[in-house]
Amino acid sequence: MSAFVLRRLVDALAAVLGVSTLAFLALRLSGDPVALLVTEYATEEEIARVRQVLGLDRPLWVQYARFLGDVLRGDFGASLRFLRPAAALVRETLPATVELATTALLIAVVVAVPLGVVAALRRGTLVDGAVTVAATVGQSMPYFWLGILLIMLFAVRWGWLPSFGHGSWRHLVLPAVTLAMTPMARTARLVRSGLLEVLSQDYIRTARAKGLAPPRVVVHHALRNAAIPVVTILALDFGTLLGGAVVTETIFAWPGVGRLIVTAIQSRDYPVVQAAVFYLAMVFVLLHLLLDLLYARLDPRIRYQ
Amino acid sequence: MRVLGVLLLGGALLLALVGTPPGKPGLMPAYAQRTGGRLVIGIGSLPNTPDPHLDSTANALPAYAAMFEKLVASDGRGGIRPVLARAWRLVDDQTWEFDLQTGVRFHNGAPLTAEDVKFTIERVLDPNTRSPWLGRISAIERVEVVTPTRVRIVTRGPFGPLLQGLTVVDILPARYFQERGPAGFAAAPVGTGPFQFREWVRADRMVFTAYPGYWRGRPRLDEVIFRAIPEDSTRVAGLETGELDVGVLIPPEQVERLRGRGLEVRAVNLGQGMVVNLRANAGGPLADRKVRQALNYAVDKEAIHKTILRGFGRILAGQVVGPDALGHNPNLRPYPTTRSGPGSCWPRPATPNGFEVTFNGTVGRYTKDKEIDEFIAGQLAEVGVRARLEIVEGGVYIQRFIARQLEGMFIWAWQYFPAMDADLPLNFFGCRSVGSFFCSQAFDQLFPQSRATLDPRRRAQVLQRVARIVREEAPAIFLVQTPGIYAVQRRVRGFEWGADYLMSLHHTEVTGR
Repeated sequence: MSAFVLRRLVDALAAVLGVSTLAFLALRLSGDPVALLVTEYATEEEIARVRQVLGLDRPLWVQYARFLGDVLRGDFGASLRFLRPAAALVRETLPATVELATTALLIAVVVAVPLGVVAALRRGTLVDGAVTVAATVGQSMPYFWLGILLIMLFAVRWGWLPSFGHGSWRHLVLPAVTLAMTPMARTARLVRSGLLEVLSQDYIRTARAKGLAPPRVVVHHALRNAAIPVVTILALDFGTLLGGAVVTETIFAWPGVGRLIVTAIQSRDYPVVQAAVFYLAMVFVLLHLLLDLLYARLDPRIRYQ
Repeated sequence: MRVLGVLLLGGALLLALVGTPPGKPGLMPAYAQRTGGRLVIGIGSLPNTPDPHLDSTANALPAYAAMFEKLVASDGRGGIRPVLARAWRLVDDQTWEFDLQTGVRFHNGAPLTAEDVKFTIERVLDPNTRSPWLGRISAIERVEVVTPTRVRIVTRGPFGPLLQGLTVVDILPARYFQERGPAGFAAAPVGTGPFQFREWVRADRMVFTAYPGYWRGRPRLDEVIFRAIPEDSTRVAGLETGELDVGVLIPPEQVERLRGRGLEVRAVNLGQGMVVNLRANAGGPLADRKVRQALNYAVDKEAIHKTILRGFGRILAGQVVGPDALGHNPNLRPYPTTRSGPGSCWPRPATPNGFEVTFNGTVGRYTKDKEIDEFIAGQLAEVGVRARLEIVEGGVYIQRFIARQLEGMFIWAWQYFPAMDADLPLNFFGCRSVGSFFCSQAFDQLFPQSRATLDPRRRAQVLQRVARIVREEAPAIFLVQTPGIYAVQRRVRGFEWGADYLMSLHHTEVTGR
């Protein structure tokens, strides 16, 4: 097991290296990086000066080596617009995004799992149909549209919740629900189909034949076995959530890393973009590592050598 | 089934939690209300740092202006008015002498002196500061302190737009800054403005409180909060819920909605001339002046103004600035629209079958920019010009602009606020300007003359002659001065947003909240 963890850690490191290399290259392939750094009315001398100060006049491999060396020391350079370490900016904004994404995931699970279970147990009934339709609608609703809709209803029409900002739990509700919709819908459908499949298995019939109470059968036997794809999707969704957070954070003026990326791109602040991409990749890689370990707990048949 | 019931109950509880309102939103802590109340302003973005020398984005200007002041400012009619400089005179054609206001104190209590002015300008001029404002005052050679209230600025050669350059340089307290260092200053910035800094939550809010010792009298408001709300619809919603007292950059189609909710909606013509630049010096049909003029005849400016902008903004009179700028030529008229297809004005011999051209457009950078791009492309098609429209997001667009990757035609709103002077936009129309897209001998002879002319009236005359050349040469399709639409709650008194992008907060008050 420890050998496995070690190997996965090496994999993770390789993935992080790959992602940061891509981030480094992508910014250069998108055009002259100096154009990202100066104001639109900059003079030729200003442009030349920036090129020199940032070492952009050196060969690409020198720049890359320097970039990697800095990254190893956790240094992504100073933000060009905020004049502070880019990594610190990302670390400051990451909690707000994690807060939003975790709440969204929590809402998704708490709502979706019961709905999926009901739909599966009441297969073919009106309830099942309603859940399926709702899930399809929920999954195909764009973040942007849903966010504005929620603001219009809950903030403007009824005045129950604030329409933007960050601070109390009241500010969290609308963006979290917006962000939760897609994973919620997907999870509900997945729980339903997974459970239906498991319920037809022999061991469920055995469990029932043993005379176990139906809830015990569903929760301890069926749900547990249907959980693996659900956990996988949820973990992957967490990554998608971070992406959806870019849109949602912009709508609700939520000061998270998604908005940091948007403003950094708009203001051509590329150390921040690189740092943010790096940190998000780290979160993603760690999540996958945890996921692999979780599999083993959920399904004793999965063994790692 | 019991477990199921528990699960469902859990879900229901959560929904209840999500849906139950504990009364009206208590969004802000209730501070003790005194004279003028608290004003909450919703704007697209906040300064990237509280240090005013390091961020030149338009949305940063009003927040900086709450706590900092410059030597001079635009008077909104093409002239310059005194702020921290009480008076100024030319000693010789390279030396400007400024007398400072007396009795001005920074928020830390230190009096404003000539040393502060010298320090401030030298800091912006220092390449290591990396101030985006450097280019505006780079003609300055040195700054000399004459007496504690008198300072001299020496330029390299005679430089007419010096005062215009100084309208962006916020004066900082030298000693305080040197004691604290740049980071320390950014953490607790100190200026001479009507409001003092209290809090900056990056990308969320910037909070100011009234400065009782303000030299022009304590402002009426107790507190001003700028909120960064990037999404237009959210800003409009924030106005409707009352979370915002003022919201700027309202899309034209939301105006009726807000008026219907009892808000006062006003508009200002911002100091920003929107044109489609024509890359004339890259050869091809656009190198032909007759073709460029014909493009101006072909595009219906009236329709853009009336239909797309719903009457907001102002049609540019064949030049890049409006009547609110120094250098505006009142004798020029917009190109009339000739909708007869490739008719009398169209240079048929040069381009008998029309031609194809790349048209670079933006989305989300200017009011209704995508709609305007598409409308112009449609209009050009009617006269046989097939525009390959390439619309990108604003950040990418600026990058391409700076990297000179915008070929053919490219939309751009030439910003001339807060100086309100034609010098800045016209600077980019020369042969040797950055990313030059147009080259004319007549222009290149006259424009440098305008810069070397020190008397504002004579400089304006030279710039007006430059404007005439630009209209005749037509290196751009002249469109509109872009509108700045803003909404104000009825409880707000004395608030105004100017063409120079600045807000009059000194006399604003909020009543009955």
